[in-house]
Amino acid sequence: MEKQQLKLWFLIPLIVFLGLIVMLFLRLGKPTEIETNTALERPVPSFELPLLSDTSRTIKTSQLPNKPYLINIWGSWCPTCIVEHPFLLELKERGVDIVGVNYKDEIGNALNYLNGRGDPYLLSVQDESGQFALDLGLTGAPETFVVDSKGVIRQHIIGEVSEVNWQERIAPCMMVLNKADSDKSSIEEACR
Amino acid sequence: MKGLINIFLLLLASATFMPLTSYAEIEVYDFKSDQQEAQYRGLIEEFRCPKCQNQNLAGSDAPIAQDLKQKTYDMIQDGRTDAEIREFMQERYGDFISYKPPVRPSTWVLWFFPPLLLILILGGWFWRTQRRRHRSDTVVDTSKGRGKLSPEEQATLDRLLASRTAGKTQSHQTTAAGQDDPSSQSKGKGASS
Repeated sequence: MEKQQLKLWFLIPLIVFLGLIVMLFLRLGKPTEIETNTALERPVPSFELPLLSDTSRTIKTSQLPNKPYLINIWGSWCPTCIVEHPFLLELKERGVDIVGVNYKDEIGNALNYLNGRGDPYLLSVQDESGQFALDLGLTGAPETFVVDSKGVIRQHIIGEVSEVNWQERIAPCMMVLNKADSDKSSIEEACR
Repeated sequence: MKGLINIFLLLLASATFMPLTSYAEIEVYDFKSDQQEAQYRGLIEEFRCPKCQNQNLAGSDAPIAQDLKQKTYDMIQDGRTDAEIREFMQERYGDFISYKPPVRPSTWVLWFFPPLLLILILGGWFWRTQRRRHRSDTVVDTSKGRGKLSPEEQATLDRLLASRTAGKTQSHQTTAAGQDDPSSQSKGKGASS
């Protein structure tokens, strides 16, 4: 009796160890980055930012498109933005409206970038201080937000937009948002 | 070659002067009081950088971390409290932003499981020692059990003890006698065993 009890006590470290193994095994291959997505299901934060091409003019939240569109945060200093740029140009060809937010950049560099590589944006604003990006819950550049026709953010893509995640995530969401009769649950289903 | 030497010296210097905690580049912020500075230091130690996920704001140079530090500084200058600044950060970046998550039902396990485990372990340990002490009280104390042997048993025991003592004295004598002669010493050992 006594001996058996002692054996059980000695088994405890083994049981704890096995538990750990199972726990760690279940996490293998899963992404370790935590994606903050506090911007979802909220309206685009209100802003008043200068137009990139003419900084004497300001753009307000009310001047944003009133059909589904993308907000793309970029900077000429950001290598991944350069990678993603050709695909943004292609999206423009396919008729997707993109609002560009030039994030913490020198205006000269930003304009050179767009002149040299082409301008995929319907509208470009300048967020020199990064304040608007903070309100969006940005973690870095590039990031893209899918906004519906009522100005509510439906998707937050961290990192570049490419053919792969466009087909898998963004296009299905945009399609549902573009349909006039989509109900809330189908939107949530498509825009996860 | 000169470049290589420079790189080597740089590595040496960085290894020698490695600070204990890593800090990002020195920012120059002026504070109205030491208390505000302490508030700022406390907050940037507590907030996590959203971009470089296992660093706090104090240790990070990512653009977003610089912005969040600037924002923290600005809010402190405005005289906002820690709670207000935390709320601002949490609204934008969720619980993730802080290394000190708020206490609410979803985080109870985080806050209360470790102390509960400690209490359970201490309780279990206490219970076990109590039980063991109780058990050792009930065990027969053999030092006082001498009278409980039957007369025959006592006689056998006495005889055994007596013969053992006799044998010991005998062997002791043998070794003592043959001490000058190594051969007799070994003989004596053999006899005693």
